[in-house]
Parts: sequence; structure tokens; C-alpha cells
Amino acid sequence: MEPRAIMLERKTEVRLVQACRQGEQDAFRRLFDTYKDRVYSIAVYFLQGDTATAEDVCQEVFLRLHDSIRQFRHDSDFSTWLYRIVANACKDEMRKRRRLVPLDSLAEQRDTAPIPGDCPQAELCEAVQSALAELNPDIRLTLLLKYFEELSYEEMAAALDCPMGTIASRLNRGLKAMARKLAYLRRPPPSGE
Amino acid sequence: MFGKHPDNQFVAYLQGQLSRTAQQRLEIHLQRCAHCRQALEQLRAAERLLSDLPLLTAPPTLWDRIHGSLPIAAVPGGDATPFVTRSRHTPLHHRRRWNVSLRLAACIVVIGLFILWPHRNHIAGKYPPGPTWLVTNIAGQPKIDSSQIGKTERMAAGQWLETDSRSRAEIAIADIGKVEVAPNTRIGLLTLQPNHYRLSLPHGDMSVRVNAPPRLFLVDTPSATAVDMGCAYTLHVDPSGAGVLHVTLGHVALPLPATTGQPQREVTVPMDAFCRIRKGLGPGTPCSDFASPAFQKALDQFDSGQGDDTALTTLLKEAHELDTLTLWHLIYRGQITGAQRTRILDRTLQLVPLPKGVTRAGLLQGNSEMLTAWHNDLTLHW
Repeated sequence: MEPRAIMLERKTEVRLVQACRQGEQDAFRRLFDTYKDRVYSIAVYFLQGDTATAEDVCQEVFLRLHDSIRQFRHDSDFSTWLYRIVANACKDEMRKRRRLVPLDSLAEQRDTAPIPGDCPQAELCEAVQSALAELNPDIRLTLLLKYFEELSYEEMAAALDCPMGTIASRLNRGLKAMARKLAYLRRPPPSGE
Repeated sequence: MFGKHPDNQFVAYLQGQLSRTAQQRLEIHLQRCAHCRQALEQLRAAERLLSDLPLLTAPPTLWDRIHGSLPIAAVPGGDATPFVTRSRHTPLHHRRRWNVSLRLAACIVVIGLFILWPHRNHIAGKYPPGPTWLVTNIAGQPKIDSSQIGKTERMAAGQWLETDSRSRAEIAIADIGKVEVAPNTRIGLLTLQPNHYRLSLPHGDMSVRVNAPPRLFLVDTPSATAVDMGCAYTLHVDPSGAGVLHVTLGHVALPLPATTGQPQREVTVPMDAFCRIRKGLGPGTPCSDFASPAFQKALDQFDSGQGDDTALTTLLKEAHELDTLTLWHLIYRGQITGAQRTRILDRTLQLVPLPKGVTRAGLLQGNSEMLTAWHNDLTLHW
């Protein structure tokens, strides 16, 4: 997207957030419509395809957003702040799961749920999702924010509330683990590489 | 430390995070090294697969669920200023003087409350004098010593914070960090001295982030003590006193039960690793988050005292470089036979070659200098 278009989009977002802070529900609905698919997608991929729980997490994210939007001070981009809420909600869900599952069944817990029906390359999606499921939650989130949302290191550090060095370390470990787990899927590189 | 293959730089290279010099050096190496070219291509492929994850469509019922949970919106429009009813009998200038006096009195009361309110509990003798930590109510109705807290409260040494199934709270650890308290958790503040903070977690879940010198912040559980070394971690303790420590940043030390005549030893849990805490027995063996389920299952057998040669075979077969964290601790803890120790050592050496000046024979003989050098080198891989 060209820089001017990016700036216009940001200004629109700032006005929308301002309107939300003043209690305008239409503005909140528009914000929801802008981000709902992305938030839902991150939750589904983070939660290993569990669409029901992902919907719960999504609901929690937007309710937290609604409750706390007055505290948003534009210290960062709104999306970075939103992703922090998403990250915390996803991790809260993982903590809940870890507490409730007996330790000796953690291995069984790692089976992924059926992937959503609207995934065009079902087999690849499922393989990636299975590999993601075996990663530490923080690393899983970092990979999703980097490759699915295309956040910068600075944005990820702000969203995940950790230093950029930690982001780099997680990406390093996470990508290596994914490469190892997905080595059997290697497809030919695009022409020209 | 990474042998002759600089694979620790590959991801940074793909992300454009290397300096120009480092990038050029790496590219020269890639021209000569087919192994590294292949490894890099595998990473690129993994990147492509992650980037190709499709955007999913949120279910249409989602907005209805959210909308149904929102508070009822305030009626739009400005405030209606209430009319001031004039008294028939009081002269206008008197009414103005009274209004100013009343407003002034109200201001004084508000300012007084503002100054005194944070100290109300000290004034009322509610908690002992001395340092206190700020507790913020995140959700529900957390309690301090059985009293519900408002939006915030202060907590002193000797007091206990308790959350039920719907409540959560956050404790500010002086100015060095914070503790997030999950539902169904009980936490006590034991010591709040400037260089020594000690909490107790008899049961529940907490998430800690501390930025301070090592060994300043400790958490006692029924079966182990977590010693912060400058880090972030989560700690879970179930009602029986068993639990799990998981480190997400830095590392945490877990002292081992003291043995008469022996110096105090501890296990160290680094970032991206966890350690089970066994009821009545103390810390288990640290394990990388990347360990396979089969590896973890075999390790559980050793930690519960039922590790046999079959379990060891599985453990060693499943082990990767990061699992040398576990293998080293198994050797270090000494709760294995001599033959098992040798097998574990040999597998560790296959995964991570020895540094200069350290020999296999020296390690088997217990040469303390070699053991220290070996340990220091291994930690670079954890």
C-alpha cells in the first residue's frame, strides 16, 4: 500500500477509535468489522483449530477492547494495542487449559481439531496447524504475529510486552522447529529463486 | 559454539536483521556449504507455509454474542443542567456567599480525602506498618484477608490475597515487576524488605515478570521454592502441593532439598523450558518446551523414580540439541546408575561436541573444572 493510503487509513482509524471512546456503538461495530476476521484467524490457529473456543476468545477480546478503549492513549498503533489484547486472551485460554488437563494427558491434548472448512489448501493448513500446536504458546503467537499479521519486530515487542531480543530468539527457535516438523512438505521454490 | 555452521544466524538473515558485514560473511559461507543452503531453504519454506495461512471468516453469530454482552449505551445528548430554584426569602448576595463557602468546604474535604485515602488502612490500623505493594483488581472480587478489594488496594507482609473462580488480580512488586494472579489462587506476602521479597503460593496460578538482580524475589510453594534470576515465568501449584514452573524469559533457580554435609544445589530452568514440582519431593528435571511427547513421558518416569533402561533408551533416542538441558540435569542430579550416566553423557556429546579443554574421560572422572566448563558451554545451547 502506498504511504499516503497508509496514512489515510491510520487517520480514519484514529477517528474511529476516538468515536468509540466517546461511546458511539456504531464506531465500535465498524472497528469490530475491520478486525474480526484477523482476530478470529489468530485465535483459531493459536488454539489448534478449536473454532468454538476461538469464538469465545474473540468475544473476550472485543469485550476487553470495549471495556478498556478509553485507556488507549495512542502510545502505539491501535492494531498493536489490539494484538496485545489478543495475545493476552490467547495465553489466558492456554493457562486455563493447562490447569484443567491432567499432566499425563498432555500428549493426547496435542491432537488438532478439524480445520475450518473454508481453508482452500486443507492438507497444508492442517500440517502447519499441527506443527504450530507443538510449539510453546509464546513462540506460536510470535510466529503468527510475524507471518500471518506481518508485524514488525517493534510491533511484536509492544504487543507481546517483551524485548526485541526475545522476539528474535523466539522467531529463531520457532522457525527452526517449524522447518524441522514440515520438512516432509517441501515444495519447489518459485521460479527465479 | 555452533560448530562450523552458523545456523543461529539464518532466521535473522531471512528477516534482514543482520549487519551488512555479517550478511556478506554468511553469504560467502552459503556459497561453499550445501548443508547450510539446504537448512536455509527449509527455513524459507517454513516461512512461506506460515505466510500462506489463509484469513478465516469469523462466524456471523459473533457480533450478536458481543453486542448482547455490552452494557446498555448511555442516552446520547448533552447533560441537562438542573435549574437552580430561587428562594423567595434569601437575598441574592447571601445565596452567592453560601454557594462559595459550600464549594470551598467541599474542595477541602475532597483534597483531604485524596491525601488521606491511600493511608486509610494505616490510619485505621488495618495492616501493619511498613512497606506495602499495590494490588489491582483485574476481574471479579479478589479478597485480601477475607475483605473484598475495590479497584486497587495495598497489601503488606503477613497478608493473603485470594481469588475465586471469576476473579483475577495483579500485584506490583515494588518497582521491579509484577505478579498476575489467576482465578482460584491464594498468595501470601511473607517478606517485603528492600533486597529480599518472598511470597508464598500454597495453591493456584501466578505469572511473574521481574527485572531485578538475581535472587531478590522468591516464591515458596509446598514442595519447592522458585528463585528469580531476572525473568518472567508462570507457576502453577495444585491443592496437593505439586506443580509446574514454566519460564518464558531469563531463568529461574529451584533449590534442591538440602542434604546433610553437602553444599546447597539447585536446578536451573532457562527460558522456553519447564520443570515439574513433585509433591513432597521438590523439583523434577527441567525440560525444554520443544521436547517431544515421548521424551517428556520418559522423563516423567525418571522423575517419579521409575526410570528404567527402556525409558532411558526412549529418552536418548528422542533427544535433540535443546534436550541437553534435561540430559545434563539427569547426570548432575546423580539419581541414576553409573551405566546410565555413561549412556546419557555419550548421547549428550553426540548432540553437542565438547568444548576445548574438556575430555570425556575427565567428565567421567568428575573433574570439577571440566564439568564447569562443559556446563557453561552447554548453557549456550539451552
